[in-house]
Amino acid sequence: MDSTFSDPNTLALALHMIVFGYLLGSDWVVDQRTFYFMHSSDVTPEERSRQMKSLLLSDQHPRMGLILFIATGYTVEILNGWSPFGADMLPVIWAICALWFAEIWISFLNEGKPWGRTLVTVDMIWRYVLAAFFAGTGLYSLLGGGFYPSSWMGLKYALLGTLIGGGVTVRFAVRELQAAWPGYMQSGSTPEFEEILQRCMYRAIYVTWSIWVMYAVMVALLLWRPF
Amino acid sequence: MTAADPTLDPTLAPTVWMFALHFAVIGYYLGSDFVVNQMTFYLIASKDVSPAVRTRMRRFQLLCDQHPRMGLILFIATGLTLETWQGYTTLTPGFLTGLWIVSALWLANIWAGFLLAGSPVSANALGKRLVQIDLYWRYLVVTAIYATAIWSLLGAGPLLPGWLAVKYILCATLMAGGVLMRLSSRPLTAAWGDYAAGGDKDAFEAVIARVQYRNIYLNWGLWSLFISMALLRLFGP
Repeated sequence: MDSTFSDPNTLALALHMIVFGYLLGSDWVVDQRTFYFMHSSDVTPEERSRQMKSLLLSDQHPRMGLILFIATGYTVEILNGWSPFGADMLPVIWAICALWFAEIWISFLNEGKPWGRTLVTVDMIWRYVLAAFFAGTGLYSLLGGGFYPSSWMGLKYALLGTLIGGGVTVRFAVRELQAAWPGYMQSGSTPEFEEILQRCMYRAIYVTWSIWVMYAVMVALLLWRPF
Repeated sequence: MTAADPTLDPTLAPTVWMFALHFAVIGYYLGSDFVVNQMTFYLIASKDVSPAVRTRMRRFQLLCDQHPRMGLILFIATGLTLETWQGYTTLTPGFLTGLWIVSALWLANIWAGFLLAGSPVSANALGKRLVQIDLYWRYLVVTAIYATAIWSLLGAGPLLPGWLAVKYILCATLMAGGVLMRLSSRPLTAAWGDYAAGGDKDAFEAVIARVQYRNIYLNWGLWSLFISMALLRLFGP
């Protein structure tokens, strides 16, 4: 029997799959916590606010997962020669992802400060750029433009762009809730507030479920590479 | 890449998909448990909520804890399947079929036990019985895995390379650690009834902090075992 020492390709694939499992596993629990949060109308606003903070802290896991998913996915594709980018781009991609990784933590921990809010806006703009880049290059390849060398990769990146765009829409989906929150903190739970909360959260939950499907399809495309 | 490892050529080869699934399960276990771990800190710090809300919180945390529990079962099933397909064990296809059936039953049992066991302060008899069966089953599995791994290290068992036997020694240790956490939680379960009924709050806070911090540290140890197993699988010496 051969030695099991794996080559970089296999290691990168293993890491990519661990990241895929990590972001789904953590997001499933975050999703459950969202339902719990929605059905906690009997606790005080202070307690619910604490719940919300804890929920957002947990949500950092799938956020980190997305960044690692992009970095490890590119690594698998570059090491196997499937990507339009060469191996010399790997350090650049990992450096960008490391910066993004640091940014999501810095902005999360400083969201209350004016410069922290600016950083959150920068993060949002960065996501628009990425979503447009991935969806644009992916669709261009699917239409025969050839940025990615194969159609499966074009579809994969079109989905990645859609997924990142979907993540941004979740933030828009909860704006109504953010606006209603100060009133809730003052007067407590009302049927109107609970209705807003349910509406916003269900919207976010449905988008999240679609994102999970897109992740699964992307992984299946990477493993299968059918066309 | 070695001949025994999955290729990265375009393929629907089951070995490649099982390889991917096995590592995804490792990520699933860790990712879900990271969030459950955060919830444990939240539960300890929730001193100001009513006992009823905290009981609900505890019950909900146990619901989320089903994810890493399922992850462990899937880790064993996908791992042994992959290793057998790659020629690292002498287990037969019949054994693998049995393994997946037993794993499905085990999954069903942890869900049935959870759903019937109720809250920390009330559990029906069947639920309690199923949880007890799960505990005895884990004793049995831990013993069987230790015995098989040591037998293999001595040269006669079904796990062919030494690194694989070491991996399963770590796996059995991880399961034993999980059982230990359950036993370690017993004082908390015992104290919960009194707390829910309006008993001594300070005494309860001392118990919950002691028990949960002990479990958190144990759990961190289990994560390191999980990561060590993944590394052993990839860098088998």
